[in-house]
Amino acid sequence: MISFQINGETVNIDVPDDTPLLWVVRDLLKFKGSKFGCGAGLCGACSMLIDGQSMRTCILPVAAVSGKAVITIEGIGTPQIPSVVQQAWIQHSVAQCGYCQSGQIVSATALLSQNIAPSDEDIDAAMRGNICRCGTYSAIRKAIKTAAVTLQNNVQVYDPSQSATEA
Amino acid sequence: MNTSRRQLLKILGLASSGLMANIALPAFAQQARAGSQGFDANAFLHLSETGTLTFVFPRAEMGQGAYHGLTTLVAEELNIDPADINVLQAPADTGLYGNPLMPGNIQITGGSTSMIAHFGPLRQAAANMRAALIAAAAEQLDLLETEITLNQQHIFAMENRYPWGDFTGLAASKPVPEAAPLKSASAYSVIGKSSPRIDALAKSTGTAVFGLDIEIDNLHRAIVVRCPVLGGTVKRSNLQAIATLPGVAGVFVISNGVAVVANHLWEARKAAQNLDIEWSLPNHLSTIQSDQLQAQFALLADTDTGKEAHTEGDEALAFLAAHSSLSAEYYVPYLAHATMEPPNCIVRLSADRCDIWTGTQTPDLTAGLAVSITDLSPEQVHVHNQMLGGGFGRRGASDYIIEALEVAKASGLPIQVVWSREDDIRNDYYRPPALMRMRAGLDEGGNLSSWRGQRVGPQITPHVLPEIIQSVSGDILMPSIARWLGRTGGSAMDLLSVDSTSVEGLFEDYDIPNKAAYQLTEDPGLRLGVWRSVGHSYTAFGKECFLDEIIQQQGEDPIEFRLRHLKGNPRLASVLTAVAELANWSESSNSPQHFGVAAHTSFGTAVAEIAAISITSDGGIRVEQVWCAVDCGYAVNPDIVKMQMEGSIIFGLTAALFGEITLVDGQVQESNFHDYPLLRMDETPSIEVVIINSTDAEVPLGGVGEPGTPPIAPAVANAVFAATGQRLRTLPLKLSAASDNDAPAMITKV
Repeated sequence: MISFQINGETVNIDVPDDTPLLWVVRDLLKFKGSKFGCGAGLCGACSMLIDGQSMRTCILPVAAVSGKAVITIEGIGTPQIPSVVQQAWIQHSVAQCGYCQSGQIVSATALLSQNIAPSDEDIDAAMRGNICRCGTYSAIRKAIKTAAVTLQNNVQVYDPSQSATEA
Repeated sequence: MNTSRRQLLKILGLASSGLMANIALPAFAQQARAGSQGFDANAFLHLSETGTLTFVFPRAEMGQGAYHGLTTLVAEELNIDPADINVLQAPADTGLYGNPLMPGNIQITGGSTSMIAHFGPLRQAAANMRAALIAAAAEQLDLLETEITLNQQHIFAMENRYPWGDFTGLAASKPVPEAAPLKSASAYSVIGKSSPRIDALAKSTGTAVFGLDIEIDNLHRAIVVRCPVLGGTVKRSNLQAIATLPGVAGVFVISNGVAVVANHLWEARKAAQNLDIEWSLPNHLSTIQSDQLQAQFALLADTDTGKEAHTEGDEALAFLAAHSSLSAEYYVPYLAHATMEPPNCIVRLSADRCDIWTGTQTPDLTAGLAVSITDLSPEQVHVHNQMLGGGFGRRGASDYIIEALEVAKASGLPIQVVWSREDDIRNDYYRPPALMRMRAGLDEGGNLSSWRGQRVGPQITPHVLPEIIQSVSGDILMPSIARWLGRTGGSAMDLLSVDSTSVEGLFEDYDIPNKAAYQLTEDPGLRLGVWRSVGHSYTAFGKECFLDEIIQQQGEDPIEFRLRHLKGNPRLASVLTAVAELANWSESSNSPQHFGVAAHTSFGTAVAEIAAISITSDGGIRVEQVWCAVDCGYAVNPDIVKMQMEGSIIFGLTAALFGEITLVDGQVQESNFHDYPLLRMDETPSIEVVIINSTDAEVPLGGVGEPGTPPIAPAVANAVFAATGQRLRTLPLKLSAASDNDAPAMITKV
């Protein structure tokens, strides 16, 4: 039995230790916002915040998050209360197919949690782990900068307690 | 049943591809209204009594923006905010929701056709609904129609306003006008303007639903282990040894491999590691080494011209008579689509019903395949199409759907077939390789007098035909016979004719009095499909690089030389002029970066691109900046047009800089993003796009999903020549000390 927090709520899961966190979250906990892209930690579609860090959960054994706090896209914000980053994504109509965008938003959120005035180089470094086959990179960059300006006016990046387990 | 028979005849070529000037709306209204609440104006639009407008979206949304774009057409004529419309994905129904620009009206999303196909008909459908509601309101309120307006879900009359749902009952009882007047372009408030995409909220909050996200009761997961050489079949396997492993619900041999069904995906994957399969390999493909293809194609071209695909004037004579001439050869490899969402499909099958949840560009072919494999009737098959996590042509093929149907049938369980990335890269319908042997002649004035392009390589149609034939003949032919017929028909076509996608774009754009194009078919046997911009994805590279070689040898300006040969192609001339201004081309020699230009027309849209590059200290090519000018006729959704250009350029840059699928003994060697890399954010240039909005009403709409891709590879290759003097004639572009940079000399008559 492995115990961890998902979007603010503690869960106990009985699966083999080596099961990747992504499939536990998607197929057992039914949070479908995090996506499967490569199964090798190469594309970032599966990114979740683990104790605040953007991590690739398609290769992260569930046992590795025992006792930790996992935040998925659903925990960052909801359609009713989108986070600052999500609002910027909507404002710039960033998404094309949209499949990679949960992972992009998770990585952008991790970046902006630590740096509310990222340079282009900071953005490149934080986002190069997330592939977008549709090629929305320039819109992603604009949205991160828009969100950064909002955050510089003292708005919280995200509030896990507000949206816990709603999805 | 009759529908699919008709389809079969149409697809076999008895009907034209049907570019229709006037597309009649389906006569669905009468049946639909009988017994339904609210008002069905036609097959696309329904207004409930409580005022909810539902739009049945007939295409697939794969990122290209049709979901938003087609909804804005409806919103415009009904004066409603696009975000207030309830959009439903159409069921599989060729008659009602087929694509009028596709052969046989197939319900396919592709060829950059969605806006072109629906711009007129959907506005008309919405205008008819508006007229019907206004007429009903006039009658109900005892007023003249001219005293009534419809706006933001209300009827306004004599300073009063009424919810528009109040008039659905009366509207539903009357005939719907068929040709209500459309708004004039000057009155547009949504079309031609920027509007936030209606799918942005769901796609920014993880709530957009893709095929992989669907859950149904008792759903089991299945993976398929396929032959390392695509097309091989199972000879024998240790199925029993797998069946008892933890979580495994069944192991089955299906048409293209072994399927492992388990409670959870991870259990299926772990169990499959213990599979031991002996394969029956496809004979020809098993002998193919991709690093020899270019030489093999060239050898063939030495002795055979191939089939004539196009001729104008007398190219052979003009070439002989030319004042000066040049020849060169270009090559591009196989490519994979690599959609971010790997293929997946759920099938739930019972004795009298089949439900399919997936993301597909061809829902009606999906339904036909279900009929073929399950022996149910078309009415018993229900396709629930979802958002597509990328398409680019990959989801026009249905192999993953066939697998799911076969696994559901064999297991008797509701199953979801889930592909890994490795499955995806190694089992694609690949962009074909192409050798392009070019030659051109110039007259004494330095103008092009002749142009010939010979393309050597496999054709796509024989590879996509078997599934189509199986689908449309599902109720009359056995699956194996249908696929055989498809393969045989495809092979016959290979012998007899030129697939237009083989040479499209190789010769059309410029004013040259004598032209010829040839297709010489040689098929290594790896299966092929349509890949964003199809033949244009390589012909633009051959055409625009060869042109640049001619221009450089003539010592002319690449923009000026092209413009001189574009008198008959004013749209391409205008984007070329615009992109030169945007990039400040005339001052480019002062830039520390090196510039290259290319222009190309595809899918009815003219695009010109300039790339500025630098060479990194370790000899790599870094694309710093790209400028793009596009003329797609009227830009219905300008933001989406710009984003499609950006996305298409990045898609093309991945192919230009990295893209290559290689074969050893017929086995695809690449497997994931480490060896089939896609462009990442830090490798992406800044991109500036300008839309040349045609004001000429006679200029038809062009597509936007694909035309941005073709010009970028030649623009970068031409910039590489400007930077290094190396003429790279093979994709992906790689600089090396011993590159094929020995420029063929221009031959000039004395």
